[in-house]
Amino acid sequence: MNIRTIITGLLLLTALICPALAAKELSGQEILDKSQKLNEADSRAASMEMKLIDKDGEVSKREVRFWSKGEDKRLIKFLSPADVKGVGFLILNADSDDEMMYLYLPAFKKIRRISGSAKSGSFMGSDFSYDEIGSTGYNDDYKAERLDDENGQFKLKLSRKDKSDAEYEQLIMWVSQEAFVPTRVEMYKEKKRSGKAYLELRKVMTAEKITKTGKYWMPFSITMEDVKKGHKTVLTMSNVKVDDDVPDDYFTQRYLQR
Amino acid sequence: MKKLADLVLKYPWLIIGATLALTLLFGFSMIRLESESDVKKLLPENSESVLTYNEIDEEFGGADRLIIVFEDSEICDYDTLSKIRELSAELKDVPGISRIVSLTNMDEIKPVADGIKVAPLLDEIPRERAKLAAFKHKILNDDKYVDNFISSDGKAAMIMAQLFVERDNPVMISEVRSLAEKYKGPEKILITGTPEIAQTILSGMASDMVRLIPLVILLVVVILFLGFRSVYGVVLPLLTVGFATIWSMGTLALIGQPVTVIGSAIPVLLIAVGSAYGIHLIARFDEEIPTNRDELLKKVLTKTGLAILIAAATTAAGFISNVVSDITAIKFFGIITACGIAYAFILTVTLVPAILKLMPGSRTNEQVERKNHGLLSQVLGSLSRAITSRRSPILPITLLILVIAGFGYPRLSTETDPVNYFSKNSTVVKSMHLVKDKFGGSITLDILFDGDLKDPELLRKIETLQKRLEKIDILSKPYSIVDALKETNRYMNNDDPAYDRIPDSREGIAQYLLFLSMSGGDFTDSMITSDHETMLVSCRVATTNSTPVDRMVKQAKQEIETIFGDSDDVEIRLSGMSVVFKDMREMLINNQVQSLILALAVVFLMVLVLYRTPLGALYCMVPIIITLMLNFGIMGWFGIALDMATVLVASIAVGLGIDYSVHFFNRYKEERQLGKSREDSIDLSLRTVGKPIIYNALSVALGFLVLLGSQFALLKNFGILIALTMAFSSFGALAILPELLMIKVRVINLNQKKEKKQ
Repeated sequence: MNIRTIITGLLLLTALICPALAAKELSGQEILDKSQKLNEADSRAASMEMKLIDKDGEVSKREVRFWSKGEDKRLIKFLSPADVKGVGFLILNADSDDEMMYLYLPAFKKIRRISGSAKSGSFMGSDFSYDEIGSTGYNDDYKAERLDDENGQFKLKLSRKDKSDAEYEQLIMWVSQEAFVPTRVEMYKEKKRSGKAYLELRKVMTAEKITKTGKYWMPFSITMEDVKKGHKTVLTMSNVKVDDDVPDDYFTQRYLQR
Repeated sequence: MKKLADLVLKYPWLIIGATLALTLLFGFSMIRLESESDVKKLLPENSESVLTYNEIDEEFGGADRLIIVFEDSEICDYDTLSKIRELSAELKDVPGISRIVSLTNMDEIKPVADGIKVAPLLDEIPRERAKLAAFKHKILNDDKYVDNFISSDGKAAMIMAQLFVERDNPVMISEVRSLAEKYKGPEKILITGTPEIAQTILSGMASDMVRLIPLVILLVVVILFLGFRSVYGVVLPLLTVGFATIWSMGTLALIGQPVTVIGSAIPVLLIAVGSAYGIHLIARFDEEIPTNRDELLKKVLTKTGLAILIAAATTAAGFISNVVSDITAIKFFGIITACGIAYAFILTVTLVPAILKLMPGSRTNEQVERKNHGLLSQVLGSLSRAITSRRSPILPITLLILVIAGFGYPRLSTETDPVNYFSKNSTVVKSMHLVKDKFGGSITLDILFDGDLKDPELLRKIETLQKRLEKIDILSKPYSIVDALKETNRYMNNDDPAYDRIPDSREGIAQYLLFLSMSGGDFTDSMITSDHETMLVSCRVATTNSTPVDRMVKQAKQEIETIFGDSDDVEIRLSGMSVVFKDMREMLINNQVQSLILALAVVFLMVLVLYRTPLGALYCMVPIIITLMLNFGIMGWFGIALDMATVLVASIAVGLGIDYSVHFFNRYKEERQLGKSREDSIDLSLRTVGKPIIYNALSVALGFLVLLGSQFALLKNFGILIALTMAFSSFGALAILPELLMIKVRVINLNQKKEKKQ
């Protein structure tokens, strides 16, 4: 759950990193493209605190530090809780066929290659699929349609493309006109009941504290709520650095152990 | 009563109009009635195992299970596996199903080059024979799969659907059934598990009622006609119970409760029971010398009204004593049947006289004459002579029978196994046996552990417990997070069997848990909560039969006791359908005792308030107590277990059976107040109310015997037992009660003799 949350947060981050352009009469697709294409920061580093809040309001905290370089290298190190401190997670060739994932477990001083479930399967213990985590945007899986603006924000309806195997049939997305950052995404899944199909809201993602860091806008707080389970996760970013040229040897097995 | 009589006779049309209006109102509310077999309604509300069950439901995504079995000459071929995969995928979308686990739909921990992964057991279904054979070899040699998801002969495979407790069971089952139908042939597909059984029971009961309600009406008509030989004697009692039934079912709808399995028996019950009040009123109407119609009705109402009120109130008390039940369905059964009795009473003292007043024509005295001669009258006459004679064998014989009945008590048993509802050849029982033979059974023993689950010491204890549980014959081998951690440890260490154990440090466990939560979809969701504070060990139980299940639960508790002692580090709770069934059996006994005491106490108080003689009230209770003793004796001797239906018999018998005593005692007191001797009063009471009592008992008993036509052993037993208790309590009222009333005469006689001698 935690890793997925982090990565989703990161995805949002990447989506945000874009120069705000004057909004002419943009089509839905153009808005989506813009909010997506701006993943231009060469490298990123951030500390993240995750608060997992269950339906009884019980909170547990996780802290990680995250680095990325280009589109294909990512590294996560766990800082807390104490019993997982030092666990490292390295992804190379992300989103490609020869994606490699390595896990370092300090309790055993061992690096092991790991592999997630099938692409269509659920990823890392929660409702997000590998696909949603792995891809950098919505463009491949969805076609966008612009709806009437709401509260000074673009509102888009994203429908899943026929050939896509993305988990959700439909997304409703609100995008900030100034920052071109999605501020809210509602994820709907198609359910069938007695032969009739209908859309059921499963998850809601909200982005807050949208701030400009360097050239890029990004939210410093992202909340994801699993509507069905009544469970939510609040991600808070700090110590964010962009285009700060993370050294290449961060993304090696050797560094993973450090 | 007199005021009521005046009112009714003054405004008969108003009464009839109001009755019809209310019937329409309740009739329309009945449209909203929902029938449902919500499993939760049949579970006790407050037992620990049910609370734990609900917690498992919330924390682990569903506590209930439905089992779908594929049977084919060869499971491991492309077509069958593809069907299993497609059906599994479709089942996943059925509302109420939270998770599907099958050969084609489950993950496993696998070693890979330099590492480990959690991946589907079967990713692509191979077409090549060699690959299929290799897959078959692999699963048949892994005790995670064999006997769990594939039978050891490779001819049956199981799809396990994990279900939410909160669901629309009939809708879910019908969707699952139609999906299964789609994939049938050449493979056989069968569905089993408690949700399927509950549904089969529900639809069976519905078809039962469609057949049985007309039958019970016909029976009551025949009895009424034989008794009264007049149209009004048949129509009026029937009209009152018909309306009372509509009003009750309307009430059920108005308070927003659904018709449950037990609730579906309410109409048959009300028709059989409620007709009594009309019978008593009309019997008196026929008995009195016809004078002015208004005067006659006034007399009939004032004379019998109170007796009918008491009869109705006691019957209602018997029913309502079931509110103490922990089972919602039984509780509302008690409330609604009590309402129904109240309605039947109100209609009898208002609608019946109103119609009788407006009824044209008059009876002749001839009819009255003829009625006083008949076989029944003769029997009652000789009974009266026997009782009022010096020596009567009735009491000694009764005592002897009670002693014999007493020997049956130790054999009394309880049963909550739903399989017992069905005959041995039914699909339900056959499916259960198949699942039992080929797999580990369809219900579970669930053990919930709350504590520091990163503590290696604790996990090792749980591992030990699992090993010991496996050895219990009716339990299957569980797969828990303990097993997953051991496998992870082994594969992290290059598949070295030496590492097939729990890691030694809490960091090690924490990091493996993190790995597992990162790697495999919802792989761990059914085993441990995401906060890593609660874990579940779930074993399948081969049988639903109470004796082995009780023994197994006891054994499991002992093992827990020896392994964990009274350690504070971990909280261990037992649940699963097996434990819920066991707890329900204990509750049935508690509820039986509570409702019985309540029913007896309330009924005694009512009789006491009515007659203001403690001894008289006590006398009235004796026949009913004897009836209860005989009832439990018969259940013991004939092996009829205390179950969801038979648990109702005792309180119903108290409420119904007391009526006969009350009717008799009412008439007896009336005669005594007129200054007649005890003997004469008994004789007259027997000759007058004796017949309606017998008709009443007969009609109720026959009404319940209609349940013999049910397809459920459960309802058959219920019908037989009620019929027997009616026979016992009416006999008690007509033979034992007068005997008791004669005691004083006999004592006086004895004293007089002594005095004479002196």
